[in-house]
Amino acid sequence: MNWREKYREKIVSADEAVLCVKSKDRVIINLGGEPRHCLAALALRRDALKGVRLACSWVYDHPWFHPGFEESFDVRATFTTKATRQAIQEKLVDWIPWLPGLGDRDRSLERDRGCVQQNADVALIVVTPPDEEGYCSFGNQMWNGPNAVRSAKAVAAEVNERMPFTFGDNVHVSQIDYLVEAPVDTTSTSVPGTEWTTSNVEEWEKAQVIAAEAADLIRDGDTVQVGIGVPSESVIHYLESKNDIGIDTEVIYPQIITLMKKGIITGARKNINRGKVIATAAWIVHGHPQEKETVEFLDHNPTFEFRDFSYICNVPRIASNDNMVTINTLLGIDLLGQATVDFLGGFPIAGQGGQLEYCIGSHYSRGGRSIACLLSCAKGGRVSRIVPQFEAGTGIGVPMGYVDYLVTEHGSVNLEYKTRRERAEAIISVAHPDFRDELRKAARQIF
Amino acid sequence: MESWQDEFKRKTISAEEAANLVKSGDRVAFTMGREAYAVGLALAVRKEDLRDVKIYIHAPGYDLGWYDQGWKDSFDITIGQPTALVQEAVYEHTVDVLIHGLIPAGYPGLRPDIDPPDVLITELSNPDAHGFCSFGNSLWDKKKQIKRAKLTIAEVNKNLIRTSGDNYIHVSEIDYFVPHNSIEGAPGKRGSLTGREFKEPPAYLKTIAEIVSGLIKDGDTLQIGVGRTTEPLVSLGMLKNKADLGWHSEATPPGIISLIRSGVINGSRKTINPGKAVVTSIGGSSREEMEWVDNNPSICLAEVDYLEDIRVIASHDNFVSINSALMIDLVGQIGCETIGRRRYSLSGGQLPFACGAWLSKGGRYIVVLPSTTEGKEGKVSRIVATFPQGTVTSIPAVLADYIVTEYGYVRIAEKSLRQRADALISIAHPDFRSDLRKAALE
Repeated sequence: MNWREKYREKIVSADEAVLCVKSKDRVIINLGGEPRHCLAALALRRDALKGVRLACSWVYDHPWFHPGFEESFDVRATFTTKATRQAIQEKLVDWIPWLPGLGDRDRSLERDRGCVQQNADVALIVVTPPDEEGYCSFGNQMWNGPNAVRSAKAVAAEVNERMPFTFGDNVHVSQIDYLVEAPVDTTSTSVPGTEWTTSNVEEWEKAQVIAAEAADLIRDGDTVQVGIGVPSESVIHYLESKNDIGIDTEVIYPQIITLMKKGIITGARKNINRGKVIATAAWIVHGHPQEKETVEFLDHNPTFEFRDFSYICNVPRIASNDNMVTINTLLGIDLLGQATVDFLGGFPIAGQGGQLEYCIGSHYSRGGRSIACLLSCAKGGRVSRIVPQFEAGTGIGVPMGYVDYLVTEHGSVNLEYKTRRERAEAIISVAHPDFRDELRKAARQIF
Repeated sequence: MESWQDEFKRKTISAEEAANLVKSGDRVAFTMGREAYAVGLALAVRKEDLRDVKIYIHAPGYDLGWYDQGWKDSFDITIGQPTALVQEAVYEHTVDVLIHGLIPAGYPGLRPDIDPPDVLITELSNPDAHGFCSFGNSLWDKKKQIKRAKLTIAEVNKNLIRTSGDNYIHVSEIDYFVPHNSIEGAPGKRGSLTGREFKEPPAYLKTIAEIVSGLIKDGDTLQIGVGRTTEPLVSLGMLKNKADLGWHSEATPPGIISLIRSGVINGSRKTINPGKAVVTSIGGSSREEMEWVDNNPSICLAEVDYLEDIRVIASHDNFVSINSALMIDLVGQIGCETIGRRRYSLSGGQLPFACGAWLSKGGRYIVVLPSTTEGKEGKVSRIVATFPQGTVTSIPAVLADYIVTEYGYVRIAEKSLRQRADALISIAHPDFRSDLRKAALE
């Protein structure tokens, strides 16, 4: 039987596909672009199911973020998004601190981990239609897809025609048990941007100052990772005067494609994957002026290599490129240089992504650097994001010593091998001037 | 050509002459491990003629006077590890603490953009027949520091042992030698070559040793951190009845050398450096054990940037990293350095070993901590709802996996916030569990 016949046999409706989920099952869901038709069908089975564990990062709203589903679904989130923030606060969703890159689960099968990647009963993923040989691509939203397929006993895939076919990791029709041909959905390849992309103009302008400053720290031939957040994403825009930039990152932004077309991003000096652009996802924002261009450029483009999130965040792999530069956006930093990226006042704000792995990886890379971008103030200038000490309950995403450069709209400083006092001085020098006296006073007491 | 013997003779000076090479305003660094005592003392004596000399000592072991108030105009001291000797000075702001990332990437300045010290002071053995001196029982990053320093003074200690590995440097690479006939004292005393003195471990550690023992399998390669909780575990029988263990660790806690001697640790199943015990320093051993280590090819001293390279650590299958913590919060953030603003220790290689163990096939990252500690107002729990303000988070919550107290062990990797809190409360001291549960509900 060739794959086409198999394919036809496996086609079912979303309602039929989710019948493979039984009470007490562990279900892993593709991060990024969630299989929304299958999830909607699953929610309808509320009364038939008990204690089904669902793990995802949750970009879209689902019924189980609201009361009444607790008995049927035990919902876990690996990131906090706009969709889940309220539900986490109300304890309808439980948050999992997850480190994608350090738990390379293919190599650690004997471990009883399990919530996020392992020992899953069902994987719910999203794929493109198969190519001539029966291979489907994870499109522009791969993330944990390949590992989900490998670890689950049953795989249900939603087929999305609108996603670009990308190279790298992929999945063959024979590895999938149920295929759901989803109705054409104009928005399902897109990702709602991070919330504050649309935040006020003033913050956006400050982010541009930070981005330009951070871009000065990047040299020709560097390989760059760009984390989510307006200041760090904006850095790409300021790399126009550089040469031979390499990309090894989690997410491809439209600006990266612009610089690829201009020949600035060539990856020519990478030690591994020379010439390739390495990522696990690409932002295609519905209604964005570059939407169509982005999809066309990603489709069947051999320059891109999309790989599973855990492979992207593998520290030894990251360290294999010389001059590996990580650029990320922080939420706050204290005077020791401890950074919080996802957790404020006892409450998870986002999720760690691959920031810690990239920071550690760049430390081992010859010539590597980690650059942290930070808006000096929050809440319209009323609160300094640079604090003497974090309040109790703040989660530290990057330990002190792993932020090499700190960049705010007031300048950039190098923190490497500085003593506690020298660090405090350097960090205060890029705080908002209104808060410097206060910070200095606190620093004298602490150090 | 000048023979190495002539060169050695020409470069040999007295401790006072060596101290006179330091000028006001210089940056002086002592290498990691035991600091050179004779040159240090001769330098401290020059308090009145020197101004603004910046000194780096990684882990102060000898009291040369300059950690007291009133020395700062002459000697401005920065340390890496707050040993008991300087904890008060750190708290009183008399000395400053250097912060760096992973030691391998560059403890003060393997990176070219950071100024090398003007004078580097280290300790070496006498040269061998080929003119190579040994670093004795402690190598760390000394070789790389010597390569980049503007001037190196080596105190020659004839008692230093020789080991296999990278533990040698040639006479030609050193600028001056200072002979120093050290006094061989008891462990912990000045001049001792056998490391620190160990006190009788408390009873609850015996329970912890038994629990951790259950997590270790034959054939594992072990790393055990330096610290009051982890170090005594070996002599308390944690590795009893095990076989074919491997050793890849910063140091050797008491009992490890004996296990290598008896063949329990033989490295036979190591997937990298099989048959070798790899360390960067040897301590906590008796004089007899040190003599056994001397010139023994099965014990290999490696430079710290190799030892703590995540890629090297992860190349071992079944790599088990066992480290201590001062505190853990209910999310799983691990603090090993401070309690509030008081600094007790350094996380050292814990982060690279933790990452390496996560990446190792079959690897395990284990953190041990007694459930309580004695505070000013009686017993306090080390498992806390949230850290007191000012506490340093050494290991982010995402890395935490096996946590062990005398009440048992739990695994929290990839567990949700609620599961983590429940698990950690279950191994907290019973007196604190209900308070923690209340706090967790919020």
